[in-house]
Amino acid sequence: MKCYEYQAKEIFKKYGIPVPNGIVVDKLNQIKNAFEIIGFPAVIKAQVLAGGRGKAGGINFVDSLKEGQDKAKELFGSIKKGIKVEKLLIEKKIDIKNEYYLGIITDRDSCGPIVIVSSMGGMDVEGVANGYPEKICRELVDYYHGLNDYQARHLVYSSGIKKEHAEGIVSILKKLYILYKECDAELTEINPLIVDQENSIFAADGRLNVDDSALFRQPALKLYKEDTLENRLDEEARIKYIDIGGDIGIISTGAGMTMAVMDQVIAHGGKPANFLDGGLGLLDKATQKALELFMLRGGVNVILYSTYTGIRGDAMAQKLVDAIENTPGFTIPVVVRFQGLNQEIAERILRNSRSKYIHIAHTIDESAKMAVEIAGRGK
Amino acid sequence: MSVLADKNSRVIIQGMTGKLGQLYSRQMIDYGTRVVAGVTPGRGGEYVHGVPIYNTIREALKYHEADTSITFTPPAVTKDSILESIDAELKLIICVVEGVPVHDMMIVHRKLRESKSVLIGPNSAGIVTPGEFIAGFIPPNAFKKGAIGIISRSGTLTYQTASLLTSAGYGQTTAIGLGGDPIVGLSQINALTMFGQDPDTDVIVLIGEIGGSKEEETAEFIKNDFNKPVVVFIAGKCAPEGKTMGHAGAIISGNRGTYKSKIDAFNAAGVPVANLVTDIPELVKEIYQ
Repeated sequence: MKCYEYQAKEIFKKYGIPVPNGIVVDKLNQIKNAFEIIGFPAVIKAQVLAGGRGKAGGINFVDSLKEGQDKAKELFGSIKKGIKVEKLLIEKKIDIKNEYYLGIITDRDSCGPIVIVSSMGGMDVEGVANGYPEKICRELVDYYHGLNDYQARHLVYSSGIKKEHAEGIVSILKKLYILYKECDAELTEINPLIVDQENSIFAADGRLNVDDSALFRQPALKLYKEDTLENRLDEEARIKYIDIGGDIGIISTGAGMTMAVMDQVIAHGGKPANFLDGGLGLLDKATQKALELFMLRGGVNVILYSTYTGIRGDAMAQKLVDAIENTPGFTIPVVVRFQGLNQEIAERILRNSRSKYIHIAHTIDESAKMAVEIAGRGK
Repeated sequence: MSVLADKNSRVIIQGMTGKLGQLYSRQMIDYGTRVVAGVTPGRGGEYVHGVPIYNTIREALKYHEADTSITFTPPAVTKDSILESIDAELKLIICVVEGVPVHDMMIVHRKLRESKSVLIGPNSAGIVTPGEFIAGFIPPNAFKKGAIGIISRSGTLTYQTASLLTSAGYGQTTAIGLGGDPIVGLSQINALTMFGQDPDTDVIVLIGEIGGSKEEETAEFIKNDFNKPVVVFIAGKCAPEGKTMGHAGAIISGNRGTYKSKIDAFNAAGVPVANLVTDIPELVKEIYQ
C-alpha cells in the first residue's frame, strides 16, 4: 500500500520528524481558509501516487490568495502522471539552504533493510548513484539489531552532508528507521530533507509504502487504504484484480498461471480484459463476485476460466456452475479448463450443468484458442 | 535420486488440525509421504488421520524422529512456526502460507542464515519427488518419475509445467515451488546447485516471473558456474508497469524486473527461453536430441 505525501507526513510527525506546516484540502471552498492559516509565500502540491510530479506541474509556489485560488482551481480534477488530482496539500514555503536525501528500503536480495543517505536531495537517487557516487552512502542493516548509532553517523558523515547539519540529521535518520520498522514499511523516503536559512530541518516530501501482508497489525495505517475497486475485491472476496482493457475476461489461480494464461491468449491474437487471481477465494465467494464484476464492467465477450489447480477442482467447478445459474441475466460464454486435483469430477459437474454458456476445454492452449475464437464471434 | 526430499523424509505438520492442514495431510499420507506427527498448540494428545498431535515440535521430537516440517499456520504466527522448526534443527522446512509479513521474514532469514536448515517459501506450492514424496498444495497426477528438475516461483505453473512434461514423456526427479513472496528461503541459484549435484537430473526447467532481479542473477550464475542444461519460462509478458500482479513478488518497478530484462539476461547466457509455457517440452526435447 502506497501512502500519499500528506499521509506519510502525518506519520513522520507522529515519529518526531519535523514537516512544514500544512493543510490538506479536497474542495475549492476550503482553499481560502487553508491559506489564511498557512500564510504566504506558500506551495500547493497535487496529491498523486506517482514520482516526477514536479516536472508534470504538480508543485506550484504562490504569493497571494488570488494566485493560490487560481492555481488550486486549475489543479483540482487535472490529470498528473495519468492520475486525477483529488486532494491538494498546501504548505508554507521554506527558504531552502540545503537539500538532502534519506531513504530505507527492504532489499529482496540481501533479505534485510538498506539505509541510503545522500547529500544531493531533490533528485532521483538512482541518478545520483550513477552520476555522483561520492555523494551517496548505503548501509545494509541487520534487522535483528536495527540501525546502530555508529551506522547512522557513518552514513551521514560519509555522504558529504555539512558538518553543522550532521547531528540533527543523524537523529532524524534514527527516527525514520524506527518508523520503517514499526510501520512494516517496504520503503520510506524523505526527498528532499531540507535545511532552511535558520538551520532548521524539515521533511519537504515523503514516501511511505507499507507491506499489504502486515496491514492486519497496522490498524492506523489500514485506514489509509483507498476505497478502490481492486481493494474492495481483495477485501471482500480475496480476488487480485487488474483491468488491462481487452475483451476476454480472465479467471485463474496463482499469479504465475494467471499471467501464463494471459500470455497464451495474446499469442492466439486475443486481448485479455484483466488479470484475476482468485486463489483459494474461488472455493468461496470469488467466482460469483468475478461474474458480477465482468457483467458490471461490460465489454467482456467471453470469460476464460483456465487453471491447473492444487486445490479441489471439483469444488471450484461446483462454485462456477452455481454462480452461473444464480447470477440473474448472465449471458457471457465461459470457456472452462480445470486441470489438476479432482479434474475428472470437475468435468462431470460441468457436463451435468444445464447452462448453455459453459464450453469445456482440456488444455491451456486449447482453452485460450477457444476463448479467442468465441470473442471474435462476439464482435 | 532426487533433491531435498524422498521416501525416507520424516515429516512434522505444523497446523495439522486446521482445515487446510487436515485436507493436505490426508493427501500427503495417501501418496506415501511419511507423516510422523502434527503440531498445534493446545491440541496435544489428539489424532488427525491416525497421526498424533503435539503442542510443540520439541514434544513431538521426544517420541518421533523427523527431519522435515511443513507449515499450514495462519500468516500472523507463521514466523514463530518457522523459527520453531529452525530451532529444532529440521533439515527441510516447507512454508506454503500466503501473506506472511515481509518484516517477519527478515527476522526468519537472519536465523536461517546461521542454521543448517533449508527453507522453501513462504507462499510456496510445496515440493514433489514423484513416486516418493509430496508436501504442499500439489495435484499428484501432474507428476511422474523421471530426469527433469523443476524450480518455480509460481505454484500453479509448477503443476502446469510438470503436466506438460509428463504428457510429452518427460518425468521429474523433484519439483520445488520456491514461493512467490519478495523474501523467500531457498534461492533459484541454490536450488540449481542442488539439481546440479543430483546424478539423476539431466535437465532443469526454471519457471520465473516478472519482478525483482533474481532471474537476472540466476542467468549470470548459469553462464559462469553451471554445467547442466537449463530451459527457462518467464510468466508476465502481458504485465503493465507498476501494478502488482497478484502477489507481492510480481511487480515491475521502473526498468527493474521487466519481462524483457529477464529474457535478455537468459539469452545472453545462452539459455533457451520458452515463449509460451506450452513450448517448454519442445525445448527439452531439443536438448535430448
